[in-house]
Amino acid sequence: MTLSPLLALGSALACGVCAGLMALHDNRRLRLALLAVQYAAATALTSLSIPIAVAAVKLVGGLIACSILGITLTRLPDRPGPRPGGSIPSGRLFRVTAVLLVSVAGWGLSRETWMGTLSLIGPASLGSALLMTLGLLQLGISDTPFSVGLGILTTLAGFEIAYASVEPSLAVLALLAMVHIGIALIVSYLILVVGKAQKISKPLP
Amino acid sequence: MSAPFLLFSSSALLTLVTGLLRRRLIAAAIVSATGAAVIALFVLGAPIESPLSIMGLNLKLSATWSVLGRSFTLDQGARPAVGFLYLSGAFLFGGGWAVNPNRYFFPAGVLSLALVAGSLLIQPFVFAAVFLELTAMAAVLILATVEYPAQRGGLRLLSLYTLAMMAILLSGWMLSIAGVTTATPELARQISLLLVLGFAVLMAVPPFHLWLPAAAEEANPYALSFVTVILQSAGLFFLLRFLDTYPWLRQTPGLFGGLRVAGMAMVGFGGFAALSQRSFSKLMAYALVADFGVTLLAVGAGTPAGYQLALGLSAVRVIGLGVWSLGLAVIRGQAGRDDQEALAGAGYRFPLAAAASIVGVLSIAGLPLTAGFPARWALLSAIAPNHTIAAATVVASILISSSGAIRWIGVLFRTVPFKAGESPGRSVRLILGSGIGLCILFGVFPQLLFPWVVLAASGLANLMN
Repeated sequence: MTLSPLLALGSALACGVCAGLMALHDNRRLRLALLAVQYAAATALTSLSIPIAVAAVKLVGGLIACSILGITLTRLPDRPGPRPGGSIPSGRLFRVTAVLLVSVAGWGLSRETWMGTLSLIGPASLGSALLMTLGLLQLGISDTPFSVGLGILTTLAGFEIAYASVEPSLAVLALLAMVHIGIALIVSYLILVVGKAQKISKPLP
Repeated sequence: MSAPFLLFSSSALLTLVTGLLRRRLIAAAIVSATGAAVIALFVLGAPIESPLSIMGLNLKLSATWSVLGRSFTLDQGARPAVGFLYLSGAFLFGGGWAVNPNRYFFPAGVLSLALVAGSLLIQPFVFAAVFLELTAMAAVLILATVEYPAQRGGLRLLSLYTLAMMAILLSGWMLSIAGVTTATPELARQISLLLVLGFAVLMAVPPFHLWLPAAAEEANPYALSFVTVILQSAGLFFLLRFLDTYPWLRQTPGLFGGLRVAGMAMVGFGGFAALSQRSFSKLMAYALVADFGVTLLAVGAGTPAGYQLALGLSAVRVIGLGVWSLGLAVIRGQAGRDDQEALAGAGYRFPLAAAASIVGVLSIAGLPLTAGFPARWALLSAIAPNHTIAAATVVASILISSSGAIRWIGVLFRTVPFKAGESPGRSVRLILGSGIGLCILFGVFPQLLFPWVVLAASGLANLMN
């Protein structure tokens, strides 16, 4: 099965929109839903390089990661606490500006031939570059386990689109899928451990 | 039957058993230490690829285990390194119960050893980067607990290792497909840049050391020392295997010079940052950065002696760091904090724990008569004729780190009014005393350790010739 050019471009844009919205929004459930959509779009782009049946490993791994994070979120209060004050700017305007600037940078990067050797098909290159740059932005402006976890998973998803075009083996895809699941598990562990530690150190009145 | 399969299945079994024993710390420590030591002996001594007969049953252990088109190979090159890691794990597990670590310390510790072993055995070996990423995940389980919620350190470690994995995987692909040789300098330069990024993370070269002070601030010191030993040794073995496998990399102009500059920068940065710390745990983090810098100086010498000394420095780090963190964890467990105010006079309250932490820190600093000194002295002799500035840096590292240590001796033995603290149990005192003894023993008789280092380096056939 091959993806139509329009669908491929749509998937690349979906990757960028999902990653951008994840960096902008605070609602954890919405961000998790965006992550799942992002995995579907990334799988579609990966299928430009490898058979869809093999690329589906990525989707399965991603959805398991989303499920793990989703189960963890059900054990947390609905509303996230206030953003921790610190050295990281967190204003909405700052984040919108940063997302726009980084998206433009990602688009520019996707027009280059990566490292002079990677021959990515146009939309795959765009989707990969957007995910990697916006994922790194998310990593840079976050300090909570959930947000940092989303940043890592987004960056990794972008990298895998590019890497699948050069290393299409099932073993590597399976290993990388394990990495996604592992990151989701560790992030969930950190969310729960930190929550428990905060409860112990600050008992509710 | 294949040896890697036996290695992984026995590690998995050990993880399971220690997981079941996670609420019984002493039992978990004994099982994990004994199990890791047995696996190490198997790895170092099993007759691989030769027929053997057990109770009339003829067997042959093959060196390779194939999974999904990739293979794990326990060859002569990998055996000493894997054996070293399991022995280090056994040493650190043995004392683990005394510092009340997190309940996942033993199972996640064994799992991390197996993952690092996977990184050393997998072929093509660039996929080791994925295993190192998985090891970093297991490390987060060891670092973060309800009592010590090392969230920032764990998240930074995870983020940095993910970036390193991506850089190394990409460079590995370029190496295997794009055909890099000494005749393709532009491609070699691009790959070298990616590799530098990846290895800078693995070797905690600033600014990629950021997870270390954050984790030191929040985590149990003993858990941090285990994680540091495992990740750092894995990173060093990986770097040496890269150098061993690719001749063009060894011939890249400026590579060894760059390693020496990075090492000198780490010694300067880590040493002076350590001097300014008001927390004993953060002193440990920065002293380790300086210590890693000395290791890079040894690799940067670009000679067989240099590579052997880099491995030797890793081996003595296990002892020095283990003893330091054991003493510190015992004191911190009683005092609650580890800043100067909390630890003032702690040497009188917990004399043996204070002595262990002092001997450990002096060993990491490389002071004479401690385990850390002979390797530094040998390094000094090896690099002084050709690299005077690097040799001066080794001397500076000893002086700066020792100054930091002496400052903390002053804090620990400051005369302040105090109530006698709860004395650690006899077995804890025995472990602390043994640790101090080992630090001094290997300082006075380095020849006890050096043959193991030569054995570990013997797997790097191209580097040793």
